[in-house]
Amino acid sequence: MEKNVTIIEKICGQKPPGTDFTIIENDPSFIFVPQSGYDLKVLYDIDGNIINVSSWLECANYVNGGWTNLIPGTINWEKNTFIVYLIICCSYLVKDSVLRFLNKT
Amino acid sequence: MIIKNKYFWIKLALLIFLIIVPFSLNVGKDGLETKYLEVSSLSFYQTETCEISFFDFWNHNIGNKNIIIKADYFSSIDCFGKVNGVDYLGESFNVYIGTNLNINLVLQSLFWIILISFIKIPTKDNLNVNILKSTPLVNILFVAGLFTSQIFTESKFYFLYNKNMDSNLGVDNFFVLSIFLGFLIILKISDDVITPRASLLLNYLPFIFLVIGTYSSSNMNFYIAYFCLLGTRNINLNVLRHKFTLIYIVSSIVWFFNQSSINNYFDVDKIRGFVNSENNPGSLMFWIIVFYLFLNGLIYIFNKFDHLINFEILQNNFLVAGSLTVIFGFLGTLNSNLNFLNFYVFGQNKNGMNTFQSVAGNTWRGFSSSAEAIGEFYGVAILISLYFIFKLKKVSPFQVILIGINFYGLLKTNDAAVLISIIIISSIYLTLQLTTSSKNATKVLLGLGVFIFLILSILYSVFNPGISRDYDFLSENLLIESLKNSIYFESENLYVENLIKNSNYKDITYLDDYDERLSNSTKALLENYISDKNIKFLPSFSSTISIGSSLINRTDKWGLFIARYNPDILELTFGSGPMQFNNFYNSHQIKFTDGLILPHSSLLNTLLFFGMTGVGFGLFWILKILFTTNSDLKYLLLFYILNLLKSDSILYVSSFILFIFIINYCRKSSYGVIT
Repeated sequence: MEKNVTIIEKICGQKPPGTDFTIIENDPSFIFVPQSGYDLKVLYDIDGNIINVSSWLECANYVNGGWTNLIPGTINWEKNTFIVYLIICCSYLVKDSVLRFLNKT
Repeated sequence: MIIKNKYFWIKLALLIFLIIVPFSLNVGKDGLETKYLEVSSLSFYQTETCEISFFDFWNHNIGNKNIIIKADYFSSIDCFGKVNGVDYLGESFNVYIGTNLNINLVLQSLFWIILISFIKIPTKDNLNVNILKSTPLVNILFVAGLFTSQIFTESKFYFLYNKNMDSNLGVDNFFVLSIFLGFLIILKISDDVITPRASLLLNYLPFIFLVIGTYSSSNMNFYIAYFCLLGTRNINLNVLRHKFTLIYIVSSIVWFFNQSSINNYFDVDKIRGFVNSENNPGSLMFWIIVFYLFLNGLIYIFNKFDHLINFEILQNNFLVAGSLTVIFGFLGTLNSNLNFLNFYVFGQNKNGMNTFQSVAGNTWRGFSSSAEAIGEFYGVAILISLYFIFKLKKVSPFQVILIGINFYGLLKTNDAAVLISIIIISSIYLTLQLTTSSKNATKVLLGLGVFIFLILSILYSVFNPGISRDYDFLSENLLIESLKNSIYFESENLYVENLIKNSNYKDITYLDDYDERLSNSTKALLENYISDKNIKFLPSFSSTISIGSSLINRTDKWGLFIARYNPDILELTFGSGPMQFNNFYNSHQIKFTDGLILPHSSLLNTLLFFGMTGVGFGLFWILKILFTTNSDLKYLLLFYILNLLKSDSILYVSSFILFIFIINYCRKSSYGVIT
């Protein structure tokens, strides 16, 4: 889990000092206790399942297992829209130069 | 000027394509059959969300009177234009159609740009004008960046209205990157299509009341973005050294220092697109820049091209645009599907009405989000038409029909102030025109004034039997209203109620919690009312406003405003900044907390935004223009001022633009109306 800490911190917030991952790695039936002052976060898996996590450790555990804070299926739509807009934008901006070039040649 | 050329049909086809296709795409599950919506098929629509397109749904529900179509602002891109949910409300169904900001931004802009493209580009030969050249790309990039920044500065609003809203700064934030590119595309296309036609835009100004231009799922307006772009072209040393710019910069510094530290959210509701939704330095900065550039862009175009206005075309366009708002408002009321299309295609701030009946004290506002704003627009259309009938001594049957439709629209808005001001302004104008000498004109005007006053008083007494004729009550009515809206009456308070009942206001000032519980403006009103310095037999300042507010039916709204308005000395002097309501709505607790009740006076809105400085300068400037202008448009200015005193129209982009146009035209008054 330590090796994924950068991604985990991006989604779950900064790692609280003294957090020990080994306690959950060594205990399969570990029960997460809600952490006071931690804002409830919503995580999604690849199938669109949703889970609410109420502590940094719980959040880290799920993110390490592949869960994310982005709604699955929508990431691509945003990205696709961006790509389409980028193509439209670039084509539109260079259209005059291309036309001038074609006229010259 | 709208000429059918070889591109006409292509543009028309493209327009229809853009309206129909995005709302017709059914790419859902195979074999899924759209059903007629009734209680038995409710579960189908609640489970099969994001599968059935709007037009497909419409096609299968023709004649279904029980559906109300609404926009689902909070939709993902793949659910755009599809049925995203259905609520059963006992007698009717609310059906939500998905809209998404990333798509809206480009799609809605394209509708409006194509509509403007029907105006023929003027040539040097036929208008003898220099067509505006393209705006430099750096300006477009700046404005696109500026408007994208609103996603961050008003993130609370965008989180509420957008499912995939992401306020993180990063190259993988495709939501924001798409918004930026969307703005870049539409600003560049706008610049290529609209800017060459800018010299003729003023003739088509009335159509801004038909195409409102507010993007769905956003707090932004197309006209603001475009005129901001033009505003950036008009930044030069002369503009920066102008006294208004300097006062604006000084005021901006004060607004920053005086801004409340609490980051509140303001529910923008029907004034969406032209108001700050959040209280933080970033959003304040955003609106300070946007307001300045917007105004600068408007004045740039008005100054540059107002000599090219053809008032006969303008008059006809007022009538046509007014009639179209009535007709589309009607269609939207009759058919909920058309109501949704009206909302989306014309960029309305709020859905048009679904009923012809007045609702909870509101009048029928049809197409518009404000009955007063659209009523004033009909009033302007009618006044301009009457002026031309008088001047030209001719009117076509078609114009008579259009005037009739506009008049019907005005009657439906139930805006008595507009009707009365049309009578007053017409009477003044006709008197001045028909009397031979100024001495006679003064006599006739005085006689006419007394006559109109008597007639109005009689009509008012007959049609408003509820209004008191008791001077004492009228003079303290506003004070009573503001006290009853104060936190004293959060729960029953018999002691204070008795003090008010017995007009024992002095004892209220002795209450221990008097200073905390009442707003500064309520205290000022109260202390002025009981002041020993008031001159006997003359109404005090408080009494005068109170009587005035009672006569124009504004006591409850202004009472609420006074109960809430709690400025310190800096805020009173300079205001809170352009389009800032947060401080006003959140700085002082009152009894009433539900819904958005606006101040109901553009003068009070100006006081909130720019303080006494803005009100003082504004009034002085407008009155100076009114008394020095030669233009006949001064009657229109007078009409607008009379109505703005009791309406919030200045908060709507269309009304704001029209008001600035009239002022600016009167300011440059060296020419008459018909040239």
